[in-house]
Amino acid sequence: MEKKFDIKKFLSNNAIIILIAILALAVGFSTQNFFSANNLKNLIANVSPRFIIACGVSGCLITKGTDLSAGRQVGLAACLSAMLLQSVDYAARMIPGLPDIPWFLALLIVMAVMACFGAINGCVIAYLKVPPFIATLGMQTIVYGLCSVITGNQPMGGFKPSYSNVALGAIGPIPYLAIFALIVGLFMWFLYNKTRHGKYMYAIGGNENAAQVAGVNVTATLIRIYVLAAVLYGLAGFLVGAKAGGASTATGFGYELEAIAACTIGGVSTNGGVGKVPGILVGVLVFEILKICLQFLRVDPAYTFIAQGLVIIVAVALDLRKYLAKK
Amino acid sequence: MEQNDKKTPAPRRDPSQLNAIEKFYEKFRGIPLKYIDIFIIVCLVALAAVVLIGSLKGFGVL
Repeated sequence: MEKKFDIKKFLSNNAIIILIAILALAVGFSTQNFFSANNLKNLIANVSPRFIIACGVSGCLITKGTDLSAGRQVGLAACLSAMLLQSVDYAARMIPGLPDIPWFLALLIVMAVMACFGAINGCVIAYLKVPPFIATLGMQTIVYGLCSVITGNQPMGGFKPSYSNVALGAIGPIPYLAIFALIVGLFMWFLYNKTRHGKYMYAIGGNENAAQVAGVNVTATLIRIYVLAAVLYGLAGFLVGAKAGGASTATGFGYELEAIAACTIGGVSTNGGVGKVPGILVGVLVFEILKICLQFLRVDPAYTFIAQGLVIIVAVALDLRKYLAKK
Repeated sequence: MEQNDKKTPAPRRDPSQLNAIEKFYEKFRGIPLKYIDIFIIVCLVALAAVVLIGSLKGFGVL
């Protein structure tokens, strides 16, 4: 029997996406330069690091967890990258005696350091059974404190040209940032759909006890998920620092909520077991297009925060609706 | 038989198996879906109003 297309369900599931698409079309046709190559480049530059962060958060959400330390970990990664990649001849270097190191080595160091924080998050959640909300909230504050200590609350700049070029460079019309995001997206898609780890992850999200009984190593899988998430925050922080041309303790503030909201808009349920990589990309795009639309409409920044807050509330309400409709 | 199955509500899961978000969502179990829909619509209208007011302020109309 052929399945009937339920327009009400479709509208309900995609309300935010439809609204933002209408808003984008309205802004595009009523203002100049919205549908321009420069604006598209700007959109890609903003979406790329946020998509990487959202991919990291998505694993936590699919296993019924969350990661509130994502934003601060991105900030710490940006600060570490900045400390390691300041120009040797820059007068206000954070580590004056540090030799010149290539950017990819700095990236590896940052990702390794962030993996340690992810491992701590994973162990606290998987072994000590601390609710992810509490564990990662604690980690958020710890990471912020550590970031303040190591930077002395000083903003950092004066990056090596090779580091800045990671964000500013491009292969033809495709920015390096987009290539990083594409590689991460493909890797995550493969991980979620074609590997045992992905199957375990969805199984834990569906029913943790049943997964355990079925032979899934829940503890190891959860630790892997949080480590992978932290590594992705490390990469995102590295890119955010390069893109901004500077880093401070304020870098990454609020990114975790944006990532969680983007995942929810993109169909990742906060109740676990559901979520796809293309959906995450759509969620991130929706959020960034909304921001760009508001900029084109010259909306006051204070109103922008209200609008973003409303989008998050609607995303959660839609998730709640799906949860109640399923039962 | 099939109709009877449709009318039977799904059995509730053991509350100890629910995570914090599910426990929070369970509090809304008694609320009809149409009220959630109304809430979502109100939020979307508010979003449109915020964008409109913010834009009018930005252009100096308000």
